[in-house]
This record gives sequence, C-alpha cells and structure tokens, in this order.
Amino acid sequence: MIPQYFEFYNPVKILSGSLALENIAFELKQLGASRPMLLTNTMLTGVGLTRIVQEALRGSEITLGAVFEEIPPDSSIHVVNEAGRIFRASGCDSFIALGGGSVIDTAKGLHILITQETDDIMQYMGADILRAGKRLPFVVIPTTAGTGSEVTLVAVIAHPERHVKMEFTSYHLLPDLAVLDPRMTVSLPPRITASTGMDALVHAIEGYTCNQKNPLSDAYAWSAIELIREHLPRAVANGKDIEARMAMANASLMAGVAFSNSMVGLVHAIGHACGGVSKVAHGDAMTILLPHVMVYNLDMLADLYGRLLLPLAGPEVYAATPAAERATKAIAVVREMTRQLSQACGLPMRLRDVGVTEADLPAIARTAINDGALLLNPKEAGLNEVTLILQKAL
Amino acid sequence: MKQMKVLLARSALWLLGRAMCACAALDSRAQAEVRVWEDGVRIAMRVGPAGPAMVLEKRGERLRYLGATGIDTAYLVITFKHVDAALPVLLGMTSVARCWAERRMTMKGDPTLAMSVVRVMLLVEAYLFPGLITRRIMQRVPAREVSMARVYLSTLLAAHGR
Ligand SMILES: [Fe+2]
Repeated sequence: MIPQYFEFYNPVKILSGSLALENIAFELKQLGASRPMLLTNTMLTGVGLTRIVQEALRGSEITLGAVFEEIPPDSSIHVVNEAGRIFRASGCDSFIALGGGSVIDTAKGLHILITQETDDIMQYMGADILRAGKRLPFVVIPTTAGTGSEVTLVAVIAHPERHVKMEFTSYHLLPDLAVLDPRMTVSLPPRITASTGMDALVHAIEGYTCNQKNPLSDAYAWSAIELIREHLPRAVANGKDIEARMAMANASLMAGVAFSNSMVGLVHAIGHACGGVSKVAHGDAMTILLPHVMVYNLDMLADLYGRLLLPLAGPEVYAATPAAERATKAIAVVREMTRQLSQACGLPMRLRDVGVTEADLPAIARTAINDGALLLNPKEAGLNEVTLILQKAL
Repeated sequence: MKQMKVLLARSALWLLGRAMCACAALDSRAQAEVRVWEDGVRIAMRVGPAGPAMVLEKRGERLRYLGATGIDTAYLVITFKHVDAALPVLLGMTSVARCWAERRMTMKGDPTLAMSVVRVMLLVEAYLFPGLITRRIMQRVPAREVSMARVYLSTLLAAHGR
C-alpha cells in the first residue's frame, strides 16, 4: 500500500560491530574535522565508557578539544548553553555524543546553537523550520539500545523558566555518523536493557502503523521487530551476549529510522505525558501503555496488527493463527513478552508500579492531548479516550 | 490558475480566521481552549513564506483578527509549504492531521499551543462545513452548540478586528 504522498530521509552513515569506535577518527577526518568535543555524562565516565572512546581516538589525527560530562538525565537549555560556551571557547569543529536520549538531545540542541550561530535556541523550536546553517560534523555513539536518537530528526529540551518542553524537528538535526559498538552496551543492566528495548519495539510498532507509514519505513520497522523478538530476551538474560547486544543496537536504530519518517502515535503521546507529569521513565511508560493502546486502536488497525504477528511471533505461530484472530494474537504476544521481561528483571506492568496515582490521571490526560504525536495516530483520541486508556493501565 | 488559487486561499484564510474569532465567542469548547492561551499571544497561518496570511491575537476573553499584520511577532506560525497544500485543508477536503503527516506544513513555536489551535480549527470546521464534508475528514465530528447560521453571521459581520 503506497501512500498518496510521503517523504523519507536517512542520511546517517552507520558503523556497526567490533572496533567501530576505532573508525571514528578516519570518518571525522573525511568529514573535514580534527577537533571534536565529546559530550557525555559522569555516570558513563564512571563505568569507563568515556575512557574507551578516548583510547580509540588516541594516536589519530583527531584531538578532543573538550570533554563535557555535565549532562543530567533531564537535559535543559542551560546545559545546552553551557556546552555551547565551552565548544566555542575551546575551538572545536565537530562533536561526538556518547550516551542515551538525554545526551543525544543535548547534542542536537548544541548543533542548533552552533549551526544557526545563535545564543537562543528557543526561537528555533518547531517543525521543519531550521535552515541548513553552518557545517558541523556530528557523531553519535548510543549507550542504550532503545531511543534510536542517533537516526531521528527530533530533539526535546526543557526550558525550566518558561515551563516549556521545547521540541525541535528538522532533517538538519540528523547526525552524520551513528557508531554501534558492542563495548558501549554490554554493561547495561537487565532492567534498563528491557525497558529501552521495549521503547524500540514501540517505535517499530507505531512506525509501522502511524499515519505516514510508507514502504520504506515499513521495511525498517519490520526488521526491527524481528530482531527484537529474538534478541531482547537474550540481551536481558545475558548482557555479555555480544550478538544479542548488536542485534538490539541495530533494531533500535532501524526502529528509529522507521519512526523518524512515519512518526509515532498514541503510545508516545500518553507516554510523554506520564513522563512530564509523574516522572515515569520513558521505556517503562512505553512497556505499560503499548498493549492498552493496541487494544484501543484495534478496530482501525486490525489488518496491520495482524500482519505484525509474523515478525512478533514468528512464522509457526503466524501460520497456525486464523487470519481473523491474528491482530488480537499480536496483542497477546506483546503482553506475554512484557510479562516474561517483568519476571526476568522486574519490568513494571502497571502505572501504579511506577508511582502514578489515580489523582495524576486528569493531568496526564490533559498533557497527552497536547502532544503532537496524537495527530499522527490513525485512530483519533480525545480527553475521554485517553483517560479510559490510563485507567486501564493504572 | 495559480493566481486564482492564491486568491481563493486568501479568502479562505480570512474566513477561517474570523470564524475562529466567532467560535471563540460562541462555542464553549473553543472558549475553553482560548481561555488558557497567554494574553496577547499571536497566532499566524500563512501560505508559503510570501503568500497570503492571517494573524489572530488573544485579548482578554476574545480572539482578534489582525489580517496579515504581525506575523513577525507571532508566537506560533503555521506555514503551508505551498498553495496547493493549503487549499484542500482550508476548503475542508483534507484534514489538518493528514496535511501534517504528509509534511506539507511547517510549524514554528510551541507544539502544546499548536495542538490547542488545531482543536479550535476542528470545531470551526464543524460550523463552516456541512456534515457531509466534515465526516470525510474527521472520525468524530464535534456537535454544534449553536447554529451554523449564527457562526456565519458573526464570522462575516462582527467586528473581530477591534
Ligand atoms: Fe520512544
């Protein structure tokens, strides 16, 4: 099924597998850079990841101009501005983001600050309004397998004083290079492996079903789900399973490409709101909400969910399930996957498990209906529908 | 042909802008949306960077129609990439959601406010177009609280500029 019109863009070069980090120097040189700034957080430095990256660059023609480690889990405009000050003061000409969603979002904020030659990124918030600007090589090394931020066009950065979650959506925010190196994810604890992996699964499922799905994004989403089915349980059970780790890193990236082009829907609209109002971790919110939103969308998406049973459960189950029951079976498979991960590492199954109370629901619902992802969900949802979903997930 | 389209888009923007002002006064749901907008906030919608445009400003409980002036100071600017993207939306033939999904429009500013503006637009469409049209672009068409005629009268004749 070809949409009447769609756009697709993914210019990110991907280095995947053993010694991927060692190639960064060569790639940066090719991109015309010699003095990158490294952005990360103190936690990752603490577990030795920053050191590994520094070692990989040693002896090359690339010199780190600065290392900025002060990125908190919830990045803000102040962090971006501080990083920008150091970037300019130390004469850097490119940058490397090492971390998860918050580090990468900060890096994208820095990208806007430098390429647009501005002191205030707030005036650039919005969708598709950034001009190309100054050239600035941008490398991302993800340390979780879930957000897919290394290949997405979006960044969210808080402005605490204005009480705004600034959203930036632009093809010009896509990095030049995504580096998937097994050394970067082997030490991720099972609980976070599971939660971030479920985020990737939601990206793939929403990417496959949301309003601007297209044959290109479908291909990425489909392959991502197949990889997740087999390798997420393995990566959770044994973090040192390099094959499973690399499969998940690639799955996360592919799901990112899918949703960066077809966008996400209701799971994310409500999930962002759970994060904003009740501080629920993104992956946990995704895990909890996914089956409930699938049930809500079922009448509109029965056909697509039915097809997804194949990558979600494998050919045996797919073939053994009558066509009319495949969609509900797909939801059952998702529930069972969550249940097993919950048993394996304590992944939460209900909103109350992550501190959400009945009293929070109205505020979460009001926030959710103001999330742009809502517009891209194939089935419309308003305040009442979102509230019902939240009550079921509580 | 293109000039005709631009002319049509100009009229449709005028109608939409003034109908939003009318609904903000006549429909309780539109009223509730507009109430939480910051006082003085300006919202602009335009076609292409140089095509026709309309700007609304929140003043007290009301929305004022400013014509094409004040875009530079607007907190939210919704831009259709070209007139052929704008017309189907402005004439009720395509939903805003679809136009958005196809990336035929850009948005500068706060997405939270943008979503509220979209909800007001949906209400306005329920008054400007007969059910036959709106049912094709919305899964659930909002019920009208007052008659279409009343909204049209206010849209066409009331002094929304002041
Ligand atoms: Fe996500």
